[in-house]
Amino acid sequence: MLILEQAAALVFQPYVLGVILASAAFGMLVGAIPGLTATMATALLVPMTFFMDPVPAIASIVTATAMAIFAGDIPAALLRMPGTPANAAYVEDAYRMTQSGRSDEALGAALVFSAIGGLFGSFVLMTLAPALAEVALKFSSEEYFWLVVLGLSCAVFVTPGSPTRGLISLLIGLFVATIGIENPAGEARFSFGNLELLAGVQFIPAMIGLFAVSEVLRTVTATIPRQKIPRSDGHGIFKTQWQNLKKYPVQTARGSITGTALGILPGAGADIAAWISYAISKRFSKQKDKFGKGHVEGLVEAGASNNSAVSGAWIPALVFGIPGDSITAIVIGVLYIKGINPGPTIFINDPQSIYAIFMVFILANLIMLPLGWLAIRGARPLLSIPPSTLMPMILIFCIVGAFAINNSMAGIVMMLIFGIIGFFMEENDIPIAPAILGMVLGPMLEQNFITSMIKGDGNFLHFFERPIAGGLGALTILIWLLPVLMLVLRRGRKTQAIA
Amino acid sequence: MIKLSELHLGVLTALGGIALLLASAHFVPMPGQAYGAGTMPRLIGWSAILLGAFMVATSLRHLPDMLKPHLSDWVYKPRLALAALAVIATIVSYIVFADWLGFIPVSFVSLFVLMLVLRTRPLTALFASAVSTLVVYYGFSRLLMVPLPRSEFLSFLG
Amino acid sequence: MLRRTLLCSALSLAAVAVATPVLAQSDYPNRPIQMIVPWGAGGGTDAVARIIGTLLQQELGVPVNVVNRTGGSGVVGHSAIATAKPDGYTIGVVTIEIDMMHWQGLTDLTYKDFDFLAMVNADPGGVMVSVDSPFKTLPELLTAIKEKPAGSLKASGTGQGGIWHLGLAGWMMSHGLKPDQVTWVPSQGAAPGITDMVAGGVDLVPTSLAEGRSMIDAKRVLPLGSMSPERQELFPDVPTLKEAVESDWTLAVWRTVAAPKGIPEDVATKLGAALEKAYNSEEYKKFMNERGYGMRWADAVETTRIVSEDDATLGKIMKEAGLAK
Repeated sequence: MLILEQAAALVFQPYVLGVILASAAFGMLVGAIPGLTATMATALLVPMTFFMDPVPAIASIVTATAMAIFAGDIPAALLRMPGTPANAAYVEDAYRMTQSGRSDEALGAALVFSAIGGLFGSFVLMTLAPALAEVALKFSSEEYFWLVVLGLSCAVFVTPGSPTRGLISLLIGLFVATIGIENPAGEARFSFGNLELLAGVQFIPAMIGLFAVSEVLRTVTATIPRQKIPRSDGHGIFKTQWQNLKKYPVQTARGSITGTALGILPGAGADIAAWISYAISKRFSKQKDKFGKGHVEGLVEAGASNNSAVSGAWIPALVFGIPGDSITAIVIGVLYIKGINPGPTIFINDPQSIYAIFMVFILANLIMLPLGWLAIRGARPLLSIPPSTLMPMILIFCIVGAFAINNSMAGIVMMLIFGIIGFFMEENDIPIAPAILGMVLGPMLEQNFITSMIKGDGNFLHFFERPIAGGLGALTILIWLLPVLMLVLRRGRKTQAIA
Repeated sequence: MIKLSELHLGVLTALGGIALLLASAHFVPMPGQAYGAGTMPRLIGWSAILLGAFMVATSLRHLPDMLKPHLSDWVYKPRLALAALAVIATIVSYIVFADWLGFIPVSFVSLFVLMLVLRTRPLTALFASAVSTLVVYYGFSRLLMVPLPRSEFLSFLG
Repeated sequence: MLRRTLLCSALSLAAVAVATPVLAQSDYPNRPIQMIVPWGAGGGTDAVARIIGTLLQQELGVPVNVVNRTGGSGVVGHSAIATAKPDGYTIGVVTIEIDMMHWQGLTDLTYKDFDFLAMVNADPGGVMVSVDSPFKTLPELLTAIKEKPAGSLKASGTGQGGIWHLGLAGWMMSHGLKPDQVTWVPSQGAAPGITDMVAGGVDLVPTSLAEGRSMIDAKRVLPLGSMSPERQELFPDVPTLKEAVESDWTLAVWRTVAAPKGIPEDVATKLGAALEKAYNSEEYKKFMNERGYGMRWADAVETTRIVSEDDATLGKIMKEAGLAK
């Protein structure tokens, strides 16, 4: 108890609370602007943390990143401009909800379920960190390979409409991911001697192009002028969430658990978590056909999932100093500078600081609610601007966002190219989501496949030799064979009946 | 732009797959391995060919309506086609001129022109493009330290 | 009237034209400086750049903005530094990869395209195994590498043809073994490689010991050797390759601050002095020690010498290992 009191004394000081508030506002701002990522928010904070005590230093990063991940949902819902690949999983639903005047409900759901997921992840971090970190240490490339194949199977579920067009989209995404030199062989592919292509296609500009620029093009070429978006029905941001929570308790829990589990694995993370959770949600939903058309269910589950993954990533980071994503990589550095060395003994050597950090996690996810509410309210006037004025404004944000990710004009060129591709795809009913999934998973698929093959000296059975890998492999194959088996069984029964 | 049928898309997909196979033919496996830079592109290429073949096969049943592609409705409306071109031109002009003239003038002028093309009232357009230019400029370059293009001879503007 | 105006403007123009370079030099720096990092946020180079940037900002009194230009195995960022205007307002962190990428045929860019200002850090390579490994000392590991058929053991810690891949090949060659005696499993950096080793995916990781520090502290990773001429301050119990297995192989990765070729001499001097002050500050020392990064200072002349020597050494090994084009 004494430790908790000491920890609380470290956190509940005007200075620390002030830092938390300021970082929260900063994170909200950075996250709400497409092109600026939570990683960038963290990197910008680092020089400031040099002059702070350990607890406020870590607190500022924890708060800013939690905020930034949620804030990525604001442009996603309002402008169809997802801030991160994690937000892209459910952007279609959120945007369609906005179009039908339910922006408050969509953003409220993103906010509340982000907070719930974040809190769940934090509790797991507090109670089970050492044990779970051990599990994360058991994952090698074979295990990740099967996880990625499972993730790719999601493409089937995230595709609304014709499966063949979903597959085209997935293949486009996978192909785009092969461009450049960042592949296991270290060989330049399809870059045609171009320096920027050598670096590969940057995610964020491509995403801004596919979603936002194509949407701008669609709006200005609509033959029936777009109706002004109806004002949100005044239901309030939080009010609807209570019903959503009552309606989707299983989804909330499932999303939080999946997200935390994938967050703990250093090779997975928030991006994959959101996609897998969205796919699970659709697979088990009673209203499958509503997904992708402005349905809140997938948003609830995937929203909880990506924020819990952010908390989960701290588990291997604190226990073994293993970065689960680029944010925790920066955090580990800050921890070292502040003399809190990550490792299994961190809970014994420095319990006050660790418990203080845990408290910050909870505070950050709680403070998200009022600040998120303010941000949602503040962004609302955007919707009352007529499209003829709003679209150019969105465009300049797209341009600067695509530039900011690598501070290069090449980002804007990419954005333009992908904007036209996205426009073409949508005019031909080819969904965009699977392409993003392909871009997220393509490099991981290749990396883990090639390295496993090298380790196994080219023997494919190697993928089943390790116990966890074998289990995951069997599960994946089962999932793929199940529909076929069912079909065969049904056919068999039919013929029997006829006979 | 153009709307294609299942048949066209199938043919395109298969052709894309073949192109990918040809383009990745020169990748050799990594030393001592059976796999290398070519593995993944070849896998994607073959998948595309199979998918394309499947799409062509299934669409043969509805052959007559599948043959002719048709253009999107907006192509026939000069105002809408102009709007689409203006959006693209805005992005292109930023890419071409921003490094030379700096962020503020390029952003302001191209926003203003685009808004006029999209038929915003001139006064509103003037106000909206000025405000969004300044908000973006200060937000990004001052607060978030993004090095937006600055002009050599218009440096007094920032 | 008109003539006078014209004359005036012509005169003032001329004055500006004459005055500008002088002003720019004595005034330097009078606007924010951009510091390009060719590697991503979260990595070691980014961390070093950000602390240096912060300290330089205090020294020079103008903001020093760290800008990540990533991708293409570092080619993109390095060429962004080299092709920037040599006015001292764009500098960058140049890493050892500059001595490798042109041998690999990725770019024509070499160290000759930069004016080096200083070297601020160097980390020697190491040899690490998992604590579950059957090998507890470097001689045991080396014997196994020699006696088992080539390719039985696997190593990881960077991409194919990356610096640590070269480090391993160089070490193997120093014992008269084939450069690919140990199969290289490409990974996306040191951390994933080390994690994979602990998960049982590979047998050894030859990255810098600093990169394995948290896992060494957690007793998951066993450091067997250091590729440095002398033992490292932070790991006094780890023998050098020379001590343990009589190998002359040494390798250290360094980070330098450089400007595009051709910056004015006084600007270079000013930046060099500011960097030296930053390097000698308490904050920098503390930062580097806590992170486990090696302190290494070299001035402009010395840095250029080290960089050009490494360029020759690495080129030779890459050719022998079949990694050069």
